[in-house]
Amino acid sequence: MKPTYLAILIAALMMASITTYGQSCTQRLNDAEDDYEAGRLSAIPDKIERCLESEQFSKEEAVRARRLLTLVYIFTDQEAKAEGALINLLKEDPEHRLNPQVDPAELFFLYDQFRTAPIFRIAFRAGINSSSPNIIERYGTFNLHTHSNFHNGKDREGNDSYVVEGDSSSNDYNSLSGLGFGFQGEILFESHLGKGVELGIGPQLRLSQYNTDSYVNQPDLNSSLTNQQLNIRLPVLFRYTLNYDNRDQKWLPYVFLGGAFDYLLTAKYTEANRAGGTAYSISSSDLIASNQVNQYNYSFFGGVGTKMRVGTHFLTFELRYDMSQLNYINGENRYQNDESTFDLAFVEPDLSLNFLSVTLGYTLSVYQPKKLTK
Amino acid sequence: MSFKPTIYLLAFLSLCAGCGLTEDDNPSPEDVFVKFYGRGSNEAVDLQRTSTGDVIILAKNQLEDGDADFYLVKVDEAGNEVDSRILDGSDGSEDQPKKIKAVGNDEFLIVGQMSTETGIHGIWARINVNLEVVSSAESGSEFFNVIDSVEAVDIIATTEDDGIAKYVIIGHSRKIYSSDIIRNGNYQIILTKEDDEDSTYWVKSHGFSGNEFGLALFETPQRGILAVGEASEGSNRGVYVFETNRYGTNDQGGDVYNASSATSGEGASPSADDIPLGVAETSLGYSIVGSTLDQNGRQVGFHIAVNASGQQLENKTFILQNDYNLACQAIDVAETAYGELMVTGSIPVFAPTGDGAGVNKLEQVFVSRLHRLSGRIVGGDQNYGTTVGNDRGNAVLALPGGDVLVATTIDFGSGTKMVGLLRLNRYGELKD
Repeated sequence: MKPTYLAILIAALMMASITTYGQSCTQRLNDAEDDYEAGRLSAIPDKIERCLESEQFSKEEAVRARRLLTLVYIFTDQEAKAEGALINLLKEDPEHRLNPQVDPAELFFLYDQFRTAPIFRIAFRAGINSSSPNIIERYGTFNLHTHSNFHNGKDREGNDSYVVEGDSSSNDYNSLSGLGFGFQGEILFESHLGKGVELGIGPQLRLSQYNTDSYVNQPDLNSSLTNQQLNIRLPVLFRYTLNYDNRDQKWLPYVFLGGAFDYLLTAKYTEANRAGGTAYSISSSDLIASNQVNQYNYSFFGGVGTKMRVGTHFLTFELRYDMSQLNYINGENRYQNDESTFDLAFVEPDLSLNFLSVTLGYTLSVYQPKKLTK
Repeated sequence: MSFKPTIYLLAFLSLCAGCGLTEDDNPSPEDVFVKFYGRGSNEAVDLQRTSTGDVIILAKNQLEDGDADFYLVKVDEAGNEVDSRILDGSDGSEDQPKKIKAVGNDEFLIVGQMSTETGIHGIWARINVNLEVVSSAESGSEFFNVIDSVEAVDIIATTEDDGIAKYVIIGHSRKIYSSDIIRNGNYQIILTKEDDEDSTYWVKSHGFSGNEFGLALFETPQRGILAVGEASEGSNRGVYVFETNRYGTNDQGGDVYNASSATSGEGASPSADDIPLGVAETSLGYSIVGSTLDQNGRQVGFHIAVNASGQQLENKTFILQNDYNLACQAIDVAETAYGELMVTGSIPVFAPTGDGAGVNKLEQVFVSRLHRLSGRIVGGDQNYGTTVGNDRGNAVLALPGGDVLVATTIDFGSGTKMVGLLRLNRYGELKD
């Protein structure tokens, strides 16, 4: 026989052997369950433990097998082994649910002595945001009595244009740009504190931008800028989830409140143009290097969302509003950027940045079952 | 478990309570600022402060295809325009404003020139804080009193016993008056006293055989007049200071000072290239600034201090340079509340070598501080302006708190020039 044919034959025999062995594990589990029903407990561990060790059970079979082992050890008064078996059961099926119709009270009793909830959850989230500058104090090279900045296409009254009474040009002053969008991603570590309230903390990276337009007292002299920020943040939140403990609930709505420490990594004008006269554009500008902005801030935020249960994990969708608490602009140096102040005829007002964001996430539950200390 | 999550929530909510920042429409009046005014092509000229802290800026405005006119802008303490007004010398005239002076009762005198088919004439008017002309205009001008053939540059209200407001105007003219000693048709400095009822009390001319130009005048404690101007002889120029009695007569002779020459004082002749451009009354007398040429033939600013009688204060005359060692000129000066002199002017070509090489910002506003007693430059100078145009500091006004206001011309290029008002801190910086 040629060596090739020999190899094929050996492989086929091995496959057949494995298949036979697998079928036998299923059969062994069925037999073991029959033994349990018949009260023949002593031989059950030997029947199924080898299959468990060699991982020949399907997921569902492994859960059945570990439950069976737990029951056997309970009823054979092997307390330590019963606890070990239950831990293995919970590792296999972290949120294993007992059935009052079929599970004995002794199993309930033992189960209640164990930590079956996740020790924490870790959420990976990403989304888009739209910034909304909150003007603290108005500044401008234009006349503040008659003119206004547009931020993200809206003036102070929320309009996209304004008129100046008595203006000889009789023109409308229209916004020149629209909403500024950005992105954020975060990793959130979550821990259940009790009664549906969770504590979450984790780093977030947020790229955001806002657009601002202003007219220097006449329709044909205006500036238009896009101010972009990259923040690294450390949010801490409290979240209350409705029906948190109800494992039958697929959709779990929640509300949350939190605070965050924000550190500005980069800030720049991605676009900065003046029209009128000899048009002028700034190609790049580092607002941190020129000390135009404050790098430290903190925020409060709140929002609503919903979790969709996927096994023991969750998909999340949430709407969130962040409110920075400190001035983004370094007022002391507001006018110190010559290019902005004179070439663009633009200075930033004092403002804090608010954000509306939509986030999608996936939350992993991390379990570590163990017996609870009394 | 003793944990009560509601306590955490309540604590957090209490932290959030009132945490939203609210809008404040009123920047602090002490904040520095940069503001722009006007349409078309504008040039700042001078500024004055009202009793309520508002500021009136005198400027020249020229709309497209229009004639140049006087342009008055009234702004509040934060620099926001509250009113403006255009005053035309006469139909079709090219007008050049020169000075605005406070005369009490929140009224102000404005003076300048209008150029018509018949020549250049001085014009002046008295306005109130609402920028309304309250003096009686002469026929031929809707707003102004007119001084024929005198290029008026400054005006003061004199102290009078009869209760009738009278004004002395300084200017220069080629016109030959009956009292002229020298009648060669060159420019002579003219002093004239008028009221706004079209009465002229006297006209006096002063000067030498060359061209003399008026710049500024002040009333002395003896009700005389201290006049500052420029004297020239051939290609030489110098600062010309003379004092007159209340009738404009100079019994003492004038003094000619040169910042860049040792030949100064009574009887001296102009021997340098000094062009005085601005004068301010100070606690030591008067400070005169202007433009001259240094030993390398480069344009630089200068400062000359004279006492209340117009005598030069020794060791207080200095050439003004800048950090970049570029050509510059000093156009106006004011004494600040901190006892320093703040000078403004321009760097005609801001194209440094060494640090900052490669930049060319054309003409830039120049701001520098001088020690009141020594006249020496204190600290570094500042420069401001656009990259695309020629910007210039035209006038400086000291504020009670120590800050200064600088009236500038800011050029956005392609004929768009705006009046700029810069509120700077005591160091001349745009920094609170």
